[in-house]
Order: sequence, then C-alpha cells, then structure tokens
Amino acid sequence: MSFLYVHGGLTPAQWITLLPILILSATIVFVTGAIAIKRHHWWNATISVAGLNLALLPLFVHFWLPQLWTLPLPQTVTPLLGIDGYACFYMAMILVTALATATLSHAYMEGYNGNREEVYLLLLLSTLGGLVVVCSRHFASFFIGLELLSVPLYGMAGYLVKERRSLEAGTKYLVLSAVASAFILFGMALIYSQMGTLAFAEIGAHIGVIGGSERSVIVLGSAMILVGIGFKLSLSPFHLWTPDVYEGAPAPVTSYLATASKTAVFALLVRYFVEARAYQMPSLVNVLSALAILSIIFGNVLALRQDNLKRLLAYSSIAHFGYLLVAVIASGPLAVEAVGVYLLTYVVTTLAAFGVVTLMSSPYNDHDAEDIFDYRGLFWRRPYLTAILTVALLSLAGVPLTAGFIGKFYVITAGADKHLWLLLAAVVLGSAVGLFYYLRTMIQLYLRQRWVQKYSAPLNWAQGTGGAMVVLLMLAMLLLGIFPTPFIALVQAAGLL
Amino acid sequence: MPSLIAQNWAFGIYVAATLAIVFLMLGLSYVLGGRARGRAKNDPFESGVVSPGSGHLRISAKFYLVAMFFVIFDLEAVFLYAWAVSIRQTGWVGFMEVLVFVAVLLIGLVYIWRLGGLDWAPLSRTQRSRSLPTLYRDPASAPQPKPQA
Repeated sequence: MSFLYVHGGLTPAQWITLLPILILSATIVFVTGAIAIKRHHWWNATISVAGLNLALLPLFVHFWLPQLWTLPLPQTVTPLLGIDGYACFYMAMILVTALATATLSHAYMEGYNGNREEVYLLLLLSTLGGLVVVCSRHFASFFIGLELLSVPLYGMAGYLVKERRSLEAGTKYLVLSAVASAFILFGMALIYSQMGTLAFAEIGAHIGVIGGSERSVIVLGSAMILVGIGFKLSLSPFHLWTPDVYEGAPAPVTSYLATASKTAVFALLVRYFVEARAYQMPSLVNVLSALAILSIIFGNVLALRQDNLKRLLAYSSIAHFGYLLVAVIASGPLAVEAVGVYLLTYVVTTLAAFGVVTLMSSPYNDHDAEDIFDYRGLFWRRPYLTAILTVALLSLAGVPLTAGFIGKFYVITAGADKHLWLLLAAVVLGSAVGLFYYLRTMIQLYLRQRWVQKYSAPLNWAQGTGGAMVVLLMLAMLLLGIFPTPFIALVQAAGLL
Repeated sequence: MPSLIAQNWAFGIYVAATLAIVFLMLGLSYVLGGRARGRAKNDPFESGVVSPGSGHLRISAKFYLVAMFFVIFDLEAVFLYAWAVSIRQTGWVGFMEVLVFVAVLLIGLVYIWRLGGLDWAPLSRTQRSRSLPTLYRDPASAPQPKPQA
C-alpha cells in the first residue's frame, strides 16, 4: 500500500468524499462496543440507524441541496476507489436500503428470543461492502468489497439458527457464494496474466490493441467473472440458489439480499463494462444477451405456479434482472441512465413487498407468513398493508402510474434505441407472463372467505417505524410512477465519470 | 511413436516390475498365510490393545471457539509484520493507520471478552452474572418476551 504514503496521505477533499464510508466504519466499531457494554435491542438498533443516517447525510445534501454544499467530485482515492456522481448515487441507494432493512429488522427481531443485536452489526458490515463495491475501480477493491458484502450475508441468512430452513439458507448461500467468488478470482487472475494490471481503466485502455491468443484468454477471464456475477445477481442459469435462500432467510434479510446486494453488484457490472470497455468483446455481449433471455424466461415461467410469496418474489427478481441486462447490453449513456432508474424503481418496489411480508411475519411463528394462503382475504383484516402490497405487485408488474412502469419504459427505450428487437420481444413477452402471477396473487388478497371476519387488526405501532417506512415506500412508488422527473434528473446528474 | 516407446520402455518395465512384486508379496501371503478369526480380530486396534469405548468423543464446542479466536487474532498479527518491515517508509501516516487497526482489534477483543467468549470453563463453573451480555443465547430456553399482537 505504499502509494498511500508516498504523497503523504490523503488530501482533505479525498477525506470528505470518503465520509460515508468512514462514518459507516466508525458506526460498526461503535455498535460492537455498544453490544459489549449492554445487550439492548432498541439502543443498538438506534445507534445503527443513526450511523446510517449520518453516513447518508453528506450524500443527501450533495444530491438534494446542492446549493448548500456539494461533495468535491470526482475524486480518485488511491487507485482502488473512485468516488464520482455514479458511485455517490448508488452509495445513497444502498444506504437507504440498509436503513429500510434496519427498521424492518427491528420490527421483526422484537419477537425473536435469541441474540438480536448482531443482525445490525452484520447489516452494517454488509452495507460497508456494498459502498466499497460501487466505488471500486480496481479488481482488488472489487473483490474486497464483494466479500465484505456477501460474508455477513451468510450470517444474516442463517440468523435464526434454531430454524432448519434459515440455517439451510445460510449454508447454501455460503457454498454458492464461495464458488462464485472463486470463479471471479480466477477470472481476475486470467485477465491480470495478460494485462499486467488490475485497474479497470487501464484494462479498458489496452483491450483494443490486444489480439490473438491473449485476447481469448481475456475473454475467458471476463466470462469467468461474468459467471461469478451471474451467481450474485441470480441470473439464469446460475439462479438455483435464489428461491431456497429467499424462502429460508428471515424476511428483512431477504429484502436486503434482493435489493442492496444486487444493486451494488449490478452497479459494478455496469461500471466494469463501461470503464474496462467490455463492450469491445462481442462474444461477451452475446453471452450477456443469452443470460438476459434465459433469466426472463425462467424467472417468469417458474413463478407462474408458485404458492409461496417469497419464492415468487425470488423468481420475479430473476426476471427483473433479465430486464435490467437488456439495458446494459444496449450500452451508451442512455443505458447507464436506464439502469439507474430501473434499479431505483426495483429497489423501492421490492423493499415495499418484502416490508409487508416482514410486518406480517415474526420469527418462531414456525415460518414467515409467506404462503399465499396466509394472505388470502388480507384486505378484510389489514387494509393498509394490503394496499401497500397491491401497489408493490402492480409496480413489479410494470403497470402505469407506478414506479415499475417508468423503469420498464426506460429499458424498452434503451433497447429500441439500439434495435435489440429479440431482447425486447423477450421483455414484452416476459412482462405479459409476469402480469398473470402478480394479478393472481393480488386476487387472493381480496378474496372474501366466509370465515374471514371483516375487521381491521390493530396495526401494532410497536412495529411503527417499519410500518411508517413501508407507507413511505408506497408513496415513493406512486411518486416515481406519476411524477418521475426529479428522480430522473437525479440519475442523469449521477452519470459515470 | 516408436521413438517414444524406445525412450520409455525402461520406465514401463520398472512400473510393471513394481506392480508385479507388490502383487506377488500380497498374493503369496494371502495364499500361504494362516487365518485366525476372533471377536476383536477384525477391529482396527492399536499396539495389540483392544480399544475400550467408542471413538466418538464429545468435545466441548468451546475448543472450536478458542481455535477460531486464535486464528482471527493470529491473522491480524500478520498484518502488523507487513507494517513492521515498512515502518520507515510509511512514517506517521502508517503509524496512525496501524493505530486505528489495533484499536478496532481491541474493540473486537473487548466484545468477545464481555460476551464470555474467553470464559473457557463451562457456564456452571464460572457462574456468570445474568446482567452480562452473552455470546450465545439459546432461543428455546430464553425467557419469552412479551408477545406481539
């Protein structure tokens, strides 16, 4: 790490841009200390949430109050981390997701008898990994960030140790994630063997002039990295772990797994494709197209007959990442914008859907409330939660006036711009099939059974922060669908370097 | 191809001869040797002593914990060596960096100490006070929190 010291450390501007990462790291140490002093669920959760908010503060001011103060962007902090508008946008998104997960965890863990405090520690660690991943411009920081992102997730997925399925989910995720990491490492080694560098930009600078057998080794290395990333994003045919892990993991952890961890990896994939000029390898783009089509087909078809809401959302997330890949393949500035908008809408929607599942469930109720049967006639018991879930499902289906429509619109625009008709046909067909199972689930919510009493269960506002958060997410979904301009402006401002 | 055989025939014969000797020795002792059967004769046993009891010992999980802590802190110490060899080049910035590193480790140590990770005797012998936080609380045996409606 001699490069750190040759110039006598970091400049003040670099320290300031690193603030979110530094504050989050400090929070982790602080929470560790706080747990050691006293196990207290509310206190430890509050400290974690406060730390996340503090880390979010500079990003919030930068994006929403630019007349007050802005981060001195872009900064290259050592060759490892590059903090630009793009990174800041995704950092903010991951931090907000972590905040939502923390509030959901608080509502969920209240009913848990074991140690509840470490879930926040793991969540913060994983979030830190996500921040590093979206800032990374170098294979070393990419790998460190990716491991920091996924290793705490094993613990989180298996957090309810006494429950067979939770433990199974944790173990499965551990094994498959380790395999994916091994693929990524080997791919990096292959690329390094030909390039002699690990920095994305330097790889991109040289990739055009390299030919012959060296080029094929680089293509092979990139393909192996793609396999690893496919595992993390659960693209078909690397999707087999997804439904089991989603089902077994505690509901708030599933929401984090489905949003923050995938967002971080996807943001990195786009950056790698743009900076390392992976577009110049047509074979790689073809593979990506195949992955996209397979993901759309498998995700939607496998979700058709699901009776388990968590598994259904897992398959739907596979399909959604297939749609997202179409935007990546389209390439160009519009693609980066489309990915940003789509990820934003997806994250908001998925968080809301899993938020409702979380608020419906509690650990040691044997299992989470995940069977669609549990939700039958929910409207007659919990109308507010049902309304939120309805909007989330509509948004996932991409119905106009919800967030999902804007995202899908962007993907189709990006694809049509580059004449990717085959991929667009898959998107359209997939959406049509998707509509069936989203609506099928929705109908269940409103079925009036004879035995279902017509009363509104008291919304326990001890789960209040979680409830308020879900309501906010629903408003965000509608706002994104009806008046998306400010959000689009935000994404446009956060272009790559 | 013929040249390949010409170069390697000696090695081939060597391998064949080795295999032949092994099979000869094992085969002859199988054919000529005596056989005895007995109650414990087919068990694996050491130095002619029949082992009492089963080999499936139950080792306290604490040993696992101790091993894990050892590996963690041992690995962290390795990073200090990397600093030690470059102490002059890294200067004060490196010193501050290591200070932060060690401080974080220290917090980690306090964490596992307070949670009883360093109490290697079984719980009943140490009589930890109930007010201290614990490393692992069995959800099944813990007192039920007030139910959520």
